[in-house]
Amino acid sequence: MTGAGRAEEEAVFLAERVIEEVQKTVKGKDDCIRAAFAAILAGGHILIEDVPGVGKTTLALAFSKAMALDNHRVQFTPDVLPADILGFSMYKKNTDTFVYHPGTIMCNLFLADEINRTSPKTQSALLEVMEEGMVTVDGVSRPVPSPFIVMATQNPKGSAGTQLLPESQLDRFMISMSMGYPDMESEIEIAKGRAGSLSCEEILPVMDAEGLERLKASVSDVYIQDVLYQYMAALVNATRNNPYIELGVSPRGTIALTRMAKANAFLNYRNFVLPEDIEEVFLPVTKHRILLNTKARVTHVSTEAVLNKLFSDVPKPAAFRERV
Amino acid sequence: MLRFLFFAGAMAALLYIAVIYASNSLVILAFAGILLMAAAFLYLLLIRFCTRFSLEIPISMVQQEMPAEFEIKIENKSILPVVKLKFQTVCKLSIEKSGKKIWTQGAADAYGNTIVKGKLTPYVSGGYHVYIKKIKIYDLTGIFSITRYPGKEISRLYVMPEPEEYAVTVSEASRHFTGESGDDAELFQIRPFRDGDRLQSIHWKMSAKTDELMIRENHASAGCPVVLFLDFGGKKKGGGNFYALALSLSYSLTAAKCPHYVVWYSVTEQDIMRAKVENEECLYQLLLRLFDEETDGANRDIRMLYCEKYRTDYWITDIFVNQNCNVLINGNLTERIKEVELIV
Repeated sequence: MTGAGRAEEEAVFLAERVIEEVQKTVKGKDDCIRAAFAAILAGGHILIEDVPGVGKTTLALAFSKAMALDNHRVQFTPDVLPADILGFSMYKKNTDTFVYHPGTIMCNLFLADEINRTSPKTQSALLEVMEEGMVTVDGVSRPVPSPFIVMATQNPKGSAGTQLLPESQLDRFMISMSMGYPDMESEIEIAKGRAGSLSCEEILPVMDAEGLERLKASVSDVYIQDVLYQYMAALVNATRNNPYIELGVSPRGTIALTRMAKANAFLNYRNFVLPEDIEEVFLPVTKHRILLNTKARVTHVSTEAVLNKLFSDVPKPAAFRERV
Repeated sequence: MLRFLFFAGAMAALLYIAVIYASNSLVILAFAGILLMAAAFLYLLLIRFCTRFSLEIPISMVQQEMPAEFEIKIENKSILPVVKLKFQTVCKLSIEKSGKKIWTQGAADAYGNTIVKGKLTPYVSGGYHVYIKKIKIYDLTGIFSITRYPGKEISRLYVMPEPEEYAVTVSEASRHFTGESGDDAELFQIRPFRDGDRLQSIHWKMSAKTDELMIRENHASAGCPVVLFLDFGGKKKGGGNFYALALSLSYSLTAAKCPHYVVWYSVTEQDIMRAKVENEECLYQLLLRLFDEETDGANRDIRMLYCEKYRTDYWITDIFVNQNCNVLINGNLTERIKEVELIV
């Protein structure tokens, strides 16, 4: 690892092992796996917007197995209540007390499937936990286990009977990504049964929850120059003054961009961030945080095209331009 | 091809002179020239059949007088690079027959994909068709070229006018205007689906029969206190200023929370068309529809045609706009629209 010690090298090697284990079962999605793991290392949550059956649950299961994390999955439906997620207090007659029964949220990796199918009340209950890391039931706050990662999935826009997450709540997710359909070779492997939940049995745990916490600490130690902080701030500011964007990236997004850039540098065997790291994570971090204006929406301008143009219009820091 | 013919003629003349003067060096020179020409021709043929071109506009909407970027993707399946390519891109209003031609130059790597970027700046607002009309492929020396005419793959570009907000005061009569008629339970009409209609009002039986989404309306649609008539007649479409004025009037009414109808005569449908504008989204969707409307220059009394078609409708204020950007409110010419307060 460039400019780092042996401990950091071993940390990155461990991270690579996790990715390799996950790749055993999720075929043809290396970019998605790296992006999801970078978000986990950055201490954030992941939103996956995609059609059913592309491997979202398999991805979550694979990560939980590779990192020996406690994993729960909830299929959200319109009748799921906040108590189903957070837990509830039940009166025990013999002890004359209320006893808290933990909800499904009490785990390390929580997969919230089709979060847009449930009511806004249940959505906000989950998102409150994501933000605060605490579950409050009957006035008593209890911390969720650490590490705590949420992988939420959302149906593509336009599906009937769904309530898409509002912008303020989408902001709580570190990245948004789409897995997409696998390529031809991967599809054949899946059909032959060499991928998917069956091959999750082949995944060996590489580390545990404590190991993940140590990795996260290593990621947070990655160095960013002042000029790159200015560069990220210029990018975020450009989203707030763009003729196609009504709602730009918030300061929470700036923090997410910083953390993801660090995680990306870490996975690329560096303990310092380069503009290329920012470029690689810019789209996944920002695309779900912005809202296009009416004119752009009506003419079907894509968010990705607007962000790509915005990124190319903001000049890179001078020192890095000369180096390139 | 002209260059090929000219060069062939030159080499033939050289060969003739070489024979007359019995000059070996001239003969060698002539044959070298012929070989060069043959090699260039074969190279150009190879490139012509091994390359694919496509035009894309990443962001298909720009403000008036702002540049729009387009990308030409070159897929070169041959092992030889292409050192010089020239693209003639045409940008024309969708209702016009001809448009502006822009030349862009680029090159392509061997066995790979290359993107050549270009810019165009339409000055008139409207809906544009952008496509590659012809491509000139040059050989490695840059002397010879062949022209290729790709299939007409059209990309759409929308140039939006910037609306101005005029001072609008909505009277009490307009604010409490209902304009509804008919019994709620009574079937009023079955019509084609329009953007904004509720999915619950789809008439599935008729939709299956007609193979087109149809809507069941149980009562006459709620009227609007204001009707904005757009007269495209008299001359060919004025473009920029007319759209900007129409958009500004409609935008100002929307900002004042005054729902209104926009009415125009469609040459394509041969009928009076109207669209209800209640919010900004309706407004811009209407604008996209108007961009595609052709005009035949004929004078029509669209107010009379509208009254004939929608007999039961009534309204409080009508605003009439023609291609000369004259604005008449309830029949009275209003000058300097930006400075007066519109009372509807």
